[in-house]
Amino acid sequence: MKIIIKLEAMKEILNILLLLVLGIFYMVIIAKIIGNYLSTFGSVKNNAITVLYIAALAASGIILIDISKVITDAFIFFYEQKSVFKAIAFTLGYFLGAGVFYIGFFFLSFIITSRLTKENEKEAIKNNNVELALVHGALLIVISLLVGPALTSWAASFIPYPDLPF
Amino acid sequence: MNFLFFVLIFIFGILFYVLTYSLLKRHFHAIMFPLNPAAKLFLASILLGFGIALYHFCAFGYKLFDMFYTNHKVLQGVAFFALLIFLCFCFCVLIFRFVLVTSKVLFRENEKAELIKGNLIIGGMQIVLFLFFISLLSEPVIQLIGSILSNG
Repeated sequence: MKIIIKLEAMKEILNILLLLVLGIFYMVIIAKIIGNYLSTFGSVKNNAITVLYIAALAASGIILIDISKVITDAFIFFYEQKSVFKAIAFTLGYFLGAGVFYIGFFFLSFIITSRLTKENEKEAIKNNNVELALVHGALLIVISLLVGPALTSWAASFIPYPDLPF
Repeated sequence: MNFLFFVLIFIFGILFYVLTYSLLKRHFHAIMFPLNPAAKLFLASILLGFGIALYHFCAFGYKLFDMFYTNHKVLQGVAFFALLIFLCFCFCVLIFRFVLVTSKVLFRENEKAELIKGNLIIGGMQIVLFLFFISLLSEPVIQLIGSILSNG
């Protein structure tokens, strides 16, 4: 009885472990990329850089949290089809896709904010313009919240669910 | 049924928050007293994170309680709901500890000393990591609990 429960729950445990490990990697890599980019603004970490850094990390988390529902669905779907390799490959692919999308979006957001505020953002952030950092941070978080569900449904379309006859 | 669940969630929700706050207060007061703004922000965010997990667990708890209630097993429903809230608490504490250990390994800095100094970067990173892992893992952990319950 206990063994059956353990085996039945194995896919959920594996899913949690994968999410945990890949989640750490995702956050560390994103933090490194964002940190390295923001360090080009100035060697001293002022309040504006701190605000932008934390908001950018939060936005990256929002994107992944949205996609994690599809990741779990895909993992359980492939695991139940007895193709563990595909389950892991899809999980890795979704993490990679989310990361690449977010990094692209992060760099694009600098162009959008510069257009919105008509300021040289690099200089403004270097001069500790917290207002601009807050505007940029809010933009990152709000757009991530808006884009997340659409990205999730697009990501779900890659899972080869069987066609229903009705 | 809805009123009973409302009473249940009210009582267990308050108990959960009292337990959470007393645990976190002990943790933070061991580092410093009175708390500086960075520590206050950190404490508030951790409480928010515990709340997010409780919200997810309660959504599942409602379905579970509904199932027991329709089968005329109210007491069993209450017991399972209490167990679920306890598991939620354990899950949150585990993630909290995990984030503290992870940030210690990642930043290679004494996070307690940084918190005393009011370093918002380390504190902010820990907040983001905690909220991220709570939101990321709540649903899979609930699925795991559901799977164990349905097989048991």
